Amino acid sequence: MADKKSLLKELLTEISDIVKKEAGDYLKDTDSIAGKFLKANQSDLEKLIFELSQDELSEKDIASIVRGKKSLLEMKALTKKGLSQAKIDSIQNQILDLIKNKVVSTFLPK
Amino acid sequence: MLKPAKHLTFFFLFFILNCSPRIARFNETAYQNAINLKIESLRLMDNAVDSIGSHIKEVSDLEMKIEKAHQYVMWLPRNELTVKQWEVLMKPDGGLLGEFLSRWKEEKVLNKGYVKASKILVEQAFNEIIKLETGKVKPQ
Repeated sequence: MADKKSLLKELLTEISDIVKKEAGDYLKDTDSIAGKFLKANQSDLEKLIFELSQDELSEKDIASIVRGKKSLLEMKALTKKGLSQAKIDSIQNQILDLIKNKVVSTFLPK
Repeated sequence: MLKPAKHLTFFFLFFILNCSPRIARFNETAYQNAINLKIESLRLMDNAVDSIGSHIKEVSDLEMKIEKAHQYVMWLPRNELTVKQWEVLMKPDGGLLGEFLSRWKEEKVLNKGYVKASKILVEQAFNEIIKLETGKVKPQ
């Protein structure tokens, strides 16, 4: 059991390192970011440790689930980026419509 | 000195030239594919507590459908983010659907706790694809 727990801790440290590595160029306080990530996942991790102790999950399962959580973070980041781009597109369309309508109503008599 | 009307013309021209869309428009087929494959994947994952023998055709059908959905979004212009999401979902060592199916094929049977935890992750991953698609600008 001690080995399983240490495996989990190692995986968490590695995730924390990834956050630092990926965000390091853009953010100053990477320790805080990594800390927040660990805190947000704390209840899930406690559940995983419990399931490990009950032999419901193997070490391989835990490693896979942690990889899945990391991939999910990547997918969320892609969604966030895409939604920001879509918002800018939507604003541009509204401005273009406004320009088009103004020009038509100003220069083309009804 | 440019007259005000000319300033305005230059502004409009500059604005219009910089107005190419940043991301693909909402696509009904891409959206439907994501919804249908989410339901189909979660249903099939439940069966991973049984031996893969009787489900091997369903697994290969699902992989084929997902590849088709991936190819479909790949040919839509400015759709790189959605394409990347499908690739993350199906990565063989990404801890999501791709890894789940690989492990099932390799290990024949997966344990209940892992199936349950993976289903939550895969459902959330599909939700991200759906959320991005529905957030795109609708075609006029």
